[in-house]
Amino acid sequence: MAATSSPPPHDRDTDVSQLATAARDGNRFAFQQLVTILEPKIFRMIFYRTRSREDAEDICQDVFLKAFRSLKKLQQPERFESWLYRIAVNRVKDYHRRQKFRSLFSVLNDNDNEEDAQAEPPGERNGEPIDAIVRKEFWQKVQTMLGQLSKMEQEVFLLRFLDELGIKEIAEVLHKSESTVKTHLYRALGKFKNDTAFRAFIKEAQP
Amino acid sequence: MSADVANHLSEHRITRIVADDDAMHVSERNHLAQCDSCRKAVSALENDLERLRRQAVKATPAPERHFVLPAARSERHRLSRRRWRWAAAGSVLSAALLAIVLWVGDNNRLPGISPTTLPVAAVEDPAMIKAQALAVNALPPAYLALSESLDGGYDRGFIDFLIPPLDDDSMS
Repeated sequence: MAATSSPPPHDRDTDVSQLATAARDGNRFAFQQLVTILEPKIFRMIFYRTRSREDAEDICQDVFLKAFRSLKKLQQPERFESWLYRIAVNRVKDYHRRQKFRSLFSVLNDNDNEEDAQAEPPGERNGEPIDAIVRKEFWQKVQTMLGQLSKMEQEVFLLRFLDELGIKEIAEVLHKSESTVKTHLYRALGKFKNDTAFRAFIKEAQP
Repeated sequence: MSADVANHLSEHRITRIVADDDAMHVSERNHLAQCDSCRKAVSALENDLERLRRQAVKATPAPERHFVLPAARSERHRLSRRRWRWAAAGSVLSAALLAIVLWVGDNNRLPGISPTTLPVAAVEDPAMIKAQALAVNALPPAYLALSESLDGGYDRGFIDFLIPPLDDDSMS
């Protein structure tokens, strides 16, 4: 029911499927076209979960490289996009695992990080400190809202409403049944619906 | 009016419709077409989600680095790699052959005889080498006596019963 500005899904899906078939058969140009089409979406998807441009860029590179190297294993080119999302979800999980491991040693690095933060505030390079603050506040609020959700509810919610995947695609990406996805999605949406403060915030916010 | 109110979509149904509009029943669709209140509830939730999505897109910086495919391997590079593979395989095969030759040569040497201890004539004559080996490795007399006594004790008919001759047609 939600309105979207993207082109009709069938045409786009057909393009992606055809390009994926060609890329699997060794056509490098087709793969480069797939990157052009899907990189912005995959980058955003990763950024939503890392909130770091540089980390999102690194992970995005990894995702496409992994996809390129594993193309021969792709049995269903029509599911290329879901497959790519699955790689991205796994890479993000690895990233969070590494972050958790690093946080064990964060006490040692706290001072260094503070110095870095003072030297280069977010957004300052673009001459848009206010925008950066607004963005930061937006992501903090999003994080607070997502904090009420379980890990699976968060993932399903983000994939459905921010990454705009269908239930079937989400099930493929997460290797879960559609009914499991729906259960988590209904719960997550119920929590979002009841978070009136957050809903009021996004009505007013203009990042 | 009270009947309409009683038929309003529940919170759970509104959530389900927004999450997955494919799952909407015909009755729900009909109800939404007629009920302003429920339609507003559904569209309010959808609009908030759409706002969230748009704001998330706006609050995401553009990537400064884009993915670039690793350089394709040239034909020359591929040939060079193939040549290296063949060379490596050849080396391994040669080493294996050499090892086999050495091992076989070592095992063919007759037991108990050192080539350095053989007389010159015996080294030259293979029959002499075998004779020498039999002489050195002869069985003790007790074993020979035992084998003779056993050999003589068996009846030929019994042997034939145990190992039927090839021209036996008793089964036909």
